[in-house]
Order: sequence, then C-alpha cells, then structure tokens
Amino acid sequence: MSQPSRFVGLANYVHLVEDPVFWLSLWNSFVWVFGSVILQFIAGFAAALLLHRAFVGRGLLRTLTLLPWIIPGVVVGLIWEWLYQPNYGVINDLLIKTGWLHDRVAWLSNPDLAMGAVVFTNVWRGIPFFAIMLLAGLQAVPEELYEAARIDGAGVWARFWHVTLPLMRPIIVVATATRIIWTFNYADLIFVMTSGGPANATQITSTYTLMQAYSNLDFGYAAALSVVLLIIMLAFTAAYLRVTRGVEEVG
Amino acid sequence: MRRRLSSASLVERLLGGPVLWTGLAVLTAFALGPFVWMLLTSLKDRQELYATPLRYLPEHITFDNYIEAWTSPITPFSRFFLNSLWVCSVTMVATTAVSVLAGYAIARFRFAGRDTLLLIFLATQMFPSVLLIAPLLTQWRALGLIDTYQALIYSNFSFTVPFTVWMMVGYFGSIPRELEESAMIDGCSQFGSLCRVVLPLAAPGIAATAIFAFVVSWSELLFAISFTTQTSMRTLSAGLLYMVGQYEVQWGPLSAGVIMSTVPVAVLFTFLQRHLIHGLTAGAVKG
Repeated sequence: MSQPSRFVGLANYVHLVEDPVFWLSLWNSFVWVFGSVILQFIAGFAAALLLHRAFVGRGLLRTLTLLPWIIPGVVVGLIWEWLYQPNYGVINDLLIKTGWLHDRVAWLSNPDLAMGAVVFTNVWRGIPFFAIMLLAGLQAVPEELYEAARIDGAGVWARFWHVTLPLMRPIIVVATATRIIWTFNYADLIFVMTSGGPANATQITSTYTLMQAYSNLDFGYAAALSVVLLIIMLAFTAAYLRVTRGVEEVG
Repeated sequence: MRRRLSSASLVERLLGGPVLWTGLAVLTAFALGPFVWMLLTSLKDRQELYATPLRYLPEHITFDNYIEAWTSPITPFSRFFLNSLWVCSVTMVATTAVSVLAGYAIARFRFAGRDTLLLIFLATQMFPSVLLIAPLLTQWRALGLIDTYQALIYSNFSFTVPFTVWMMVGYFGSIPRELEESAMIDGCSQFGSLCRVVLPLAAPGIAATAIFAFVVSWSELLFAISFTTQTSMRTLSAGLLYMVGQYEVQWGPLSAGVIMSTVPVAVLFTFLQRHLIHGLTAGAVKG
C-alpha cells in the first residue's frame, strides 16, 4: 500500500497543467461555487426578511428551518439521492403528477442535469447559513432609520434599497466571502452523491483532489492539486476584499 | 399624495399578511419536506417502499428498518453511532477547554507574536481539509494511531480549535475589563477572576463553542474515511457511506440511519441555538 516516496521535482505540477480533467474541474468548480452561493444568498435573504417579522411561533420556525444546515453532509447527500431516485424518488413523481415532466428523469446520472441537481441540493443546505447571518444583520439596523425614511416618504422598496442594503454591506461581504471559500473547498456532498460523475460532469477541483488521494492513493498529485486550490482561494480573497472595500469607499 | 400613501400602505399590508404567510409556508415546506419524506420512508416496509405507483403515506407503520439498522451485524449502525458520540464528546470538551483558556489569554494579555498567532489561526480556516489528509495519515501511521479514536479526536480537534479560539477572543473582548479589575482589587487572583467573573458572563459564548465543535465533528467525513479501516471503528458519516457501498442500496435501513443521525444534532441545536447564532454572528455584525 505505501510505496517509498521519492523526490519528483515539479512533475506533479506538469501533470496538472496537462491534465484535461483538472481544467474541466476548475470550470465545474466555478459553476458549482457561484451557482450555489448566488442562489443561497437570494433565497437566504428572502428567508431572513421573512423571519425578521414578528409572528407567533417564530422561535420554533427559526430552529426548524436551520436543520438542513447542521446535519452531516453525508446525510444531506443521501436524503437527496433518495429524493432524486429515478423510479422511487418523490421529485420525479411530483413533477409528473403536476405535469412538468412526461417521463422519469435520472437526475444524477444524466451529464446535462447532474450539476444542476447537486447545486440545488447545496442550495437547500446553505440557505439557513445566509438566513442566520443576514438576520443578525437585519436586527442590527436601528428602527429609527426606517422611521426617518418612512417620514421622508420612502416606500417599502426604497427603504430596502437605501437603508437596509447599505447598512448590511459589511455582513454581506463577510458572509458571501466565507461561503464562497467554504463551497470551493467542500467535497463531501458531491463525493457522496455522484463521486464527480457521470463522466466528470460534477467533478469539481476539491472532489478531484479527494478522489486522487482516496481512490487512487496518489498523494503527491493530490497535494499539488490542494496547493493550487489554496493559491486560488488566497488570490480570490485578496481580490474580493479589495473590490468590496472599493465599493464601500465609493458609496 | 393621498393615492401614493394608500397604495404604499396596501403594499405594506400585503407584505405583512398574505406574502409573509405564503413565504413562511414555502420556506418551511422546502426546509422540512426532505426530512418528512425520509421519515415516511423509514416507517414503510419493503413492499410499500418500492411500490409503483408511489405511496406517500405508510399504510402499516413499522419500526423494522430502525431495528435492522441498529442491530445489523454487517453494518452495525449502533457501533457507528456510539463511535461518533464518543469522538464528538471528547472533541467537544477538549476544544472548549483549550479555546476558553487560549481565547482569554489572547484577549487579555499582550505578548510577542500575538497578532501573528491570530492570523495563522485564521489562515488555517482556508486550507481545504483534503490538504491535511496525506500529512496526517503519514503521521498517524508512524505513531500507530490508525483505527484508533485518538487519531479522529486529534484531527477533529486541530480542525475546530482555530475557529473557536477566534470566537472566544471576540466574546471575551466584549466583556468589560473593569469587571475583572475590580474583582482583583477585592483580592481575586487573575485565574480566580476568570473563573468567578468572566466565565459566567461568557457562558453563551462557551455554549456556542461547544455546540460548534460537536456539530463539526459529527459531520466530519474525510478524516473518518481516511484514518479508519475497520468497520467497527467507523463514525456515523463514514458508516452511512459504508452502508451505501454494501451490495445494493437498502433504502429502508438507510433512511432509518439518516433519521437517527439527525436527531442528536437537532436536539442539541434546539436547546442551544440562541447562543450559537449569537456566537457565530457577533464578530461579523460588529465588523
């Protein structure tokens, strides 16, 4: 199992540059990260706005809606594998009953649909994260500012656009940056659901790294891939913080 | 003017009424629907589970799937469960003890390398855990720790501590220093003032740290599949994956396993969620 390792210089990095699956995985990572985070952000913001209003049973509902976020990634993957199951899955059944689909669809083994299916699962899992973060931000906005805006004749939309959003910029920046980094590195869900298949359609860089280490036992190549992951993340974080700070100065 | 006002209040009334309730209904259904479906699945017998057309509600509720998952000799879910419980509990206690002491020291004392230390802690959060597997595996092999609880506890611990130290530094930072100073004037030692004054005030932060450590190690998969080889040493996540790998997927026992894996974190979370949310978001809101 463990062969003696020897020094190979940059061989692993040369291999990486010439490896078409690596480049494909980078593109897939891009789709995976931005698809997941943008949808999570929009839905999470909507959820935070809803949960911010006072209503009976709010505490209970907040706890319940957070559940998808705290359960293990393996559990999330298995739940959705069962929901997507072509013959006995409830998603196909519901879509056919409501007339959206005519035939059963193999969500996770169709190369055209698999990425969308895993992203959707990840969105389900990530909405609570944004909901809590943004809810904390909403609660920090002083009520007087809304009062003042209302007196000045600002409608619902204007208050959201000119009071809520600008005041929440710091927490939005922190939450999206954290989430982008985390999603980029996150391998469990895809590893469980598709192992990067079919035909590498859902192979993102972190699952590819994991497969190299776990299935091929090629730790050298896995380490080279990890270093590239790390460099991309550092570059991204630096750029993201610079851009968002720039926005703050202009605003 | 009057028309604008009335249309604005109509929008507001809609947002407070029908839109709010519809939104909440959709949100709840979306968040909980998959769990409900899993629960229904786990209560069906084999025949109902694979019935065509699909049957939504189980006609004869049965707990056989739970019994099978819990007692199966090939995929011993009870063993996975207890493994996870032990690994996560020890990780939780160790993480909490270390991050409380380290967080307090960093928040209150000025010492050489303090800022660098904090920065290094933050930087480790960026490392993909995949990156750590190869070096840790070599290390655990050399130390003869493969297939031991220690390997999992040490790995989880090293993964949770940097973040929880940050959480605790933020928390202690928000407790006024004057409180300890007056305790010390009254004759408390530094450690005495930590125990008697600061710790009670930091209780919510400590609870957040503890639950964070527990939930993270409960979910952990990569370390668990890399550092254990025997079935009897698998944790929940690794064990569930192993259940999938055996023969064809048995959705009955598997769905029971999924429900049983969800319950402990859900219960813990319900009791401590207020503290956790406060602890996780405190730093971000201030920033």
